[in-house]
Amino acid sequence: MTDQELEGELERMLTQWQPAGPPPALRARVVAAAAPRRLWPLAVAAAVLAAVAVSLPRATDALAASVPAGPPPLTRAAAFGVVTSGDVDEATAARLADGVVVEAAQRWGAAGAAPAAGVPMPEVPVLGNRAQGEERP
Amino acid sequence: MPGAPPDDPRTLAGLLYDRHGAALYRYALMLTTRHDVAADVVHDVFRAVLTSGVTPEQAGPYLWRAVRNRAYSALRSRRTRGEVPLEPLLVAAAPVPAPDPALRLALERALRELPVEQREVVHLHAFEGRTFQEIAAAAAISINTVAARYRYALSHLRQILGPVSHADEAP
Repeated sequence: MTDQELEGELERMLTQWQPAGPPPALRARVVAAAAPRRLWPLAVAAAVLAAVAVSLPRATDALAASVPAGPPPLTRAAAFGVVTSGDVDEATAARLADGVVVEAAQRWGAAGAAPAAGVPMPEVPVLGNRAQGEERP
Repeated sequence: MPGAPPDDPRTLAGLLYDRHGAALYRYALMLTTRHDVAADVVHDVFRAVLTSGVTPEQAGPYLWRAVRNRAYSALRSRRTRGEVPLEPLLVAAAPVPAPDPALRLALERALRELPVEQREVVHLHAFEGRTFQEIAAAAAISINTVAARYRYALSHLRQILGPVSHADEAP
């Protein structure tokens, strides 16, 4: 047998067979994959995001309003209370008292008389404003 | 089928599948030699073509090219490695007279051993009836290359099947 005859015989043998076909489920799988995409999950997600974006600033504002305010600022009366109550250390009390005395003296000196009733008390310096080396009165 | 494609993508998918699906699956199966990979290839290709907006008339060449590309990609990846599945690669072309099952097993083994390029040419020429010129155009190679691949493939098949086929002829 020549090569050509052998090849012809082989080709005839091949034609007795054919590759196996697809499983029946493949068609349904292909068709199902072609189904239009549902848009409602995306719409729901967008609505949720919008609601969060709108409500989050309001919620933070409300939360900030509900938080109790911090301690009130130190008033003059409170400063005097601190100075006289002994809740602070000696150096701080001395500085506060010095400031009060110095500023009161300046005010009263400028006015030429003792403060009348109702005249506001001078601002209390928080830290001493004495010059370095100045003697305490 | 001239005219606008069906509005429902599922109808279009069914139409295209009925027209090309079985042949594309056989092509993918012969390239990858695995049913599971072939099914994935065909599924992925149809999903891609249905979102690409091509018309049913344009879809044929596109599908064949896409199946070829994806099947070769699957071969390059690890998807086709591992155990050889037990599902038959070939079935009888005509139930009567029933061909020898031993011959089928030998032929399947020989086809699996072929390089994929040669197996592809055997499939397209021997099973699908394509000419060498059509195969060359689809694979973007020369006709001489196609003919050489086919010749090498038949030579290899003959070496493996020789004893089997001659035993089949023995009295």
